[in-house]
Amino acid sequence: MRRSALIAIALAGSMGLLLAARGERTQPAATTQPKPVKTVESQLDEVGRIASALVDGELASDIVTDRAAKLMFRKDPNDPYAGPDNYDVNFEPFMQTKKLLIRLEGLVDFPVNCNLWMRCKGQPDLVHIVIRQNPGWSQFYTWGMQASEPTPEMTRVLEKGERVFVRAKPPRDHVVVLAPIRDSLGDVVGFVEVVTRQRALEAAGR
Amino acid sequence: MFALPFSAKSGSAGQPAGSASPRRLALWGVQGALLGAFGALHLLLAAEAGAWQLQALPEFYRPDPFGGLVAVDQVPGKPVPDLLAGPDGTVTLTSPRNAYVSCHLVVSDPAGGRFEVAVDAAPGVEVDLFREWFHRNSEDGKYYPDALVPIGKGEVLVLPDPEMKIEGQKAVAIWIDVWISGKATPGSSQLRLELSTGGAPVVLPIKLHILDAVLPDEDAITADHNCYGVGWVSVFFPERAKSVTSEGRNFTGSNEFFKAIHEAHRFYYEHRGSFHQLGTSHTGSVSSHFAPELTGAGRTKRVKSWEVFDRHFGPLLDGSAMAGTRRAPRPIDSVYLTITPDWPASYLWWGQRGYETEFVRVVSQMEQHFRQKGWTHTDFEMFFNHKKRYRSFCWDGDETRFEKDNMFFREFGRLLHKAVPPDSPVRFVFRHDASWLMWNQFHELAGLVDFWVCGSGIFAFYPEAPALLKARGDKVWIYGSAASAFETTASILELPLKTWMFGIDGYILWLVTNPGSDPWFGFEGGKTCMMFPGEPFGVDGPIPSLRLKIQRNFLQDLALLDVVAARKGEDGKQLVRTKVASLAGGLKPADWWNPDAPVKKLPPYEWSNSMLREAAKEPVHQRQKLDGRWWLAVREYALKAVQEVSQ
Repeated sequence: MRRSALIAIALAGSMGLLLAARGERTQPAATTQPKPVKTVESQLDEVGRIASALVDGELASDIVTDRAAKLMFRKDPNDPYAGPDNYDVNFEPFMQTKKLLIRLEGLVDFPVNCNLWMRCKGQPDLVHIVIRQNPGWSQFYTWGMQASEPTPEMTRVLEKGERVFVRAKPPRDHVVVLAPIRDSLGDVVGFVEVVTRQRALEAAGR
Repeated sequence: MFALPFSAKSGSAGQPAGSASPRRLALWGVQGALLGAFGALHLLLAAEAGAWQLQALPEFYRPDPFGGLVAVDQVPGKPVPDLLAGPDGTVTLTSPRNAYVSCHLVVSDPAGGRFEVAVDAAPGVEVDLFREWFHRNSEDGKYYPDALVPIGKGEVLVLPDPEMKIEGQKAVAIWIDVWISGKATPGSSQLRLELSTGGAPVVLPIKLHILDAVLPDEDAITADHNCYGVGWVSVFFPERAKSVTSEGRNFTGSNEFFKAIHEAHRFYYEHRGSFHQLGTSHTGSVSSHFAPELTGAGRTKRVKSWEVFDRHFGPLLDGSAMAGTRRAPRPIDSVYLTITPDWPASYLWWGQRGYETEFVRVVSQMEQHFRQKGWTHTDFEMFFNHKKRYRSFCWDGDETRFEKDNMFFREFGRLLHKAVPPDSPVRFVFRHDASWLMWNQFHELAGLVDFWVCGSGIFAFYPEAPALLKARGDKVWIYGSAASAFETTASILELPLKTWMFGIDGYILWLVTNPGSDPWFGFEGGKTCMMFPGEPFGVDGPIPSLRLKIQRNFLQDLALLDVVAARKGEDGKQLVRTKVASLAGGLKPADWWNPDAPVKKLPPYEWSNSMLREAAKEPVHQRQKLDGRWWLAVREYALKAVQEVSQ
């Protein structure tokens, strides 16, 4: 890997670290009193609130390359995989945002994924997942999905700019907060899906 | 002596009134001998057994349940090859030692009934019998045999088969595997097949012509079989899982679970193949069954426990899992490591000191552990399976399409070199599965990636590639899907033959553990499976497909051809390849390449799948004219040639 690229990516990561640290400083100072136990919902909501504050929607809009955005919707009956085959991203906005999302996941004491969803370039009535975190939890993503129409919960986030809490119906066990992200014009261009799973909560003693 | 059952009882239940006349066992279809694996198989036969009939068929010509042949195995206008009839009606099978020879037997009777078969063989010769399961293809409504259900000693079979539930079934098909050990005495031997239908037994003698030549244990090419994760274990062993769970134990952490994995490895090894299980996901997560347990972060990151890893891989890496097979036990050839962009180092630190520290510390520990254990006969693969389309990483680890992504391979290559001492006896390799961008990557990643697994269609664009890659010691495979059971048997040979014609090291079938939701009555052809669950038939392990058997016999043929080539001097391989191609109606080895594909004029990121399909048309069509008859001719050539070079 070229050193200049490594440095750029490292700087991007450091920026995320600083921002995330700033977010952490908004927590109440520790006292000798026992901490009130926060609910999972409130903790997810807090991560969502911080995500809305820190994730740069302008930067995130640059993740998908213009070429990929254009080819994603090309219809070719002889080549149904043309969209995924041509999917491509710009490294620096991707890495900078992904590292920030990883840091956001560390704000709670149980496992969560912070996935980034964006409106599709050129087709803002559709959304797609742009950064999927490890181990791949999502209430909405299905394997191989390229783009989809927003669910009612997603529409609420995108249109009203509100955080939305979603609990999946069994047998699914996802517990989710969707948090809007905005660009420099103040428009909601996507959202972060803060998601955990009931089985992971139980394993973590929650 | 070894005996196995196979029989038919005349006068048994299900037999109509009026069938009391003496039954006559007769060979139909082709008169005389048949061409079986490794040579001329001369058929024979005759005995009194009423209306029961017995037909022997070369392995490439599959029977159907109505007494006919699978249509796609035949070339229109060409009959099944004439079988060399022995004057005494004896079937003759010819084979080197340390090898299998096989054929189909079709037992039929208009009225049906129960029957058994028993086989006696000389020392050093063992016989396995399998009932061929007929799967219905919903698209054409026809039946194709594929799953092979072992026939137990003394087992009574019934025609029509009550399990298959085929209306109007007139025939039961049996796959015969004859194993001739390396210690068998060369010369003529005899197999005695005894068919019982309730009356006087009917005896079918088969003459075995055992050659001096011993088939090498080493294969000409590697036939690898891939799968993902461990989900398949519960699909193949539901009863075993239930039994463990009923004891209050967790199946996926149990010894029974790892035993099942070892059985799958042994199963493919017995069929001259290998088995690969990927323990990582597209998001970078790793399965706890495949990875050592880690602890710490940054400069304190390290392996905490090898316990699960050693239970899983220890018997595979020291070869003890292969004990009890008919091949000499040995360690597996290669294994995926669980290195991903997010393991062992956290991707949070990518491009920073912490990433290198975490990666090098843990991979160095792996090298030390493997060295201390003496696991030095297996290739440990650093392999990335993610693609950016799955949205977890910004580069394609698998089938890279964009040149800019090469920078990540360079960095991982650097890290691997830093983690593994240059004089380590442990064989770490950097594997990349390449397609669009392979030609660029062969050059750009030279000295870093040293194991290439290439899309076979695009690889055919570059006849220069094998020499380029082999000259620097790289290992080269191609990948593809298993042939469908609904296609001609000749299609089973396509990928291994291409591998051999290309002069490279092996091929991998990308998925072999998914038989579908209902392999027995809703089979989809098996392009994602080469084995079936055995539990429905009381078999505590996987059972083979007919395609796997044909593939194994073909791999034997290739090994034999390589023996012939080695005796022909420096250009031996090319001479033998030329001979094999010429037997295919005048083809040349060059016909397996496709160097003038028009798509090559465009940069790979502009290639579409329709362009690639178009590019592949011409050479594929040439080879599609081939059928089993062609390979039987090749096999005859190989058998004859190996006898000549042995003298």
